Amino acid sequence: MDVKAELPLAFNVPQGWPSPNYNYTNNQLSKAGFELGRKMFYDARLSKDNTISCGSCHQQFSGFAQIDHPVSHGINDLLGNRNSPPLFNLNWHTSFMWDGGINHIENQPIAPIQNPVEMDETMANVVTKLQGDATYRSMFKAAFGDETVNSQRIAKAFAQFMGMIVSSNAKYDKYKRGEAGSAFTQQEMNGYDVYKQNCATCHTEPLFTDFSFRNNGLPPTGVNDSGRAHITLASADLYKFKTPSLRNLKYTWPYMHDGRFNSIDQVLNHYTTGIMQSPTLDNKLSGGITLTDKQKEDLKAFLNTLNDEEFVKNTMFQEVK
Amino acid sequence: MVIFRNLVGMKKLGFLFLIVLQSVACTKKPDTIVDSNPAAKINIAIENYAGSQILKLNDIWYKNENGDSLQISVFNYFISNIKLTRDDGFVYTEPESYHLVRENNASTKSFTIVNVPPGNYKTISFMIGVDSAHNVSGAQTGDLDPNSGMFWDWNTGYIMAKLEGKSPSSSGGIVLYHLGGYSGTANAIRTVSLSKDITLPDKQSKTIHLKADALEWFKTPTTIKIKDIDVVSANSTKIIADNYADMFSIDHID
Repeated sequence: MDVKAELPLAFNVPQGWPSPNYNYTNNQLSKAGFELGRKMFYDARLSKDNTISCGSCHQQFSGFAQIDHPVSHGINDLLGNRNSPPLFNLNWHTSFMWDGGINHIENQPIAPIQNPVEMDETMANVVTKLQGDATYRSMFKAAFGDETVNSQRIAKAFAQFMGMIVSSNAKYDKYKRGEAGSAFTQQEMNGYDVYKQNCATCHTEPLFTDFSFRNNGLPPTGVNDSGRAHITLASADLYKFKTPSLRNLKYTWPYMHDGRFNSIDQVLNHYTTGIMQSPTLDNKLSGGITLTDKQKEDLKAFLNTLNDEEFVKNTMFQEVK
Repeated sequence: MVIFRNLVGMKKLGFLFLIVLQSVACTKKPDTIVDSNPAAKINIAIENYAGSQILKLNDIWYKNENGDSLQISVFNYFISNIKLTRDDGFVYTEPESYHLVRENNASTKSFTIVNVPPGNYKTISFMIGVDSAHNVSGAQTGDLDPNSGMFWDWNTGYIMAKLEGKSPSSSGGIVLYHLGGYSGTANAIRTVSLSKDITLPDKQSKTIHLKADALEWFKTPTTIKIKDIDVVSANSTKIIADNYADMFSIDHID
């Protein structure tokens, strides 16, 4: 076996964070497995016409979301219905996709690969393509002990790469760890208080999401995306979507499940004046959120402390050309 | 392996010596050498039927309980968690017991369970479908590989059983019964238990010939009208799954 494969690759839980939901119990982390996952992530051959990779719609400089795209452009410029979600801290997620339809990180990649408006390829063809490539065969051998390519190994290598994408070095994190030079300004501190009073119930620290599904009062568009109800078929889940993290908002705009808001100002205005009443509206939002202009500015200053420049520039996650 | 039956009570030294011999002689060491002797085999051979006739895909018009005509083009299902119960109460559980049966692939319709302890068995039980644990624990392989067309990628979980075909009673002409879901009301897993005396002598094999009747999907307890259910949704999953729960019978043992 390749010596590299035996090098341990550690998954470290940041100080003060809860235990992750996925911890590689049945997927031995290795440098070789991580590198294989990274290569596949950036490989357009995983799409039907070899034009779209995972990295096409999940770009590192955009927090592994896609900046300026309300919904992503898939194969043949086909459009989906939802905003490409950012990818970080995935090992803490209890479900995936805006509707939570996918119950395990290892089952995640197969969905965009096979979605007809995303990569439109079959996993069987992906296996065939990779098996026919000597570089991949050697990488599978390095990661898993022999050259066999199968969908399970593809899934596990993806989980090694994607799960290792952790964002925990924003100013907020350094402040919480008491690192030098990370003291909050008065405005950031004020904003932290505004956040705690108005946002923390759903966007819970330290991941800034509680992973729940909620209807936050967005008026349905012509798409009439039913959200979580698409999975559960329960009318009580109509128009509910997974609470997104507030981390890295600087890089991940536009916002909401359909990318309808281009700025944080628009998002805050929605919560103060735009909430639409409906039977499944989250009860904490029934009266909207009251924020003064100063509170909004303070809150935005705090949200800025959640942007992790080291994460979006971490060479470990970049495509190897 | 018979030799081990006579080992109990032998001198320890000779006992160990024989273990060494056995290790050299066999590629697989027995886990327990005292009271179990898993040298026998059970073959499972499945024949799919449509009523009293052996199922033929595409070519034949069948009539369901309601009198609707239909042709069947796809007939697939998982069998999992096979258990064999002996008359002394011992239960043999097949390890990694996941079998995808596809009518269009003869090799999937028979398989062998090895290392079964001999004895007088009276019941075979199994699930139609894949247990919930294997729907929620990440990427699987072998018969559970999601490449089989028996997996929902957007709403994680296996299609436990699938029947496709065509019928003039369907408004779109098609019959599309994909039964999935592992919990709650849309739970397509059903447990089958069949009784028959099976005497399994040591080192020998017996074949259990199972019949699976596709037309049972359309009757008992609920008679299905294809004009009402041409495509199975989550709402009709329970009705059809309750129907197919009794599609299996033991034809004969040999």
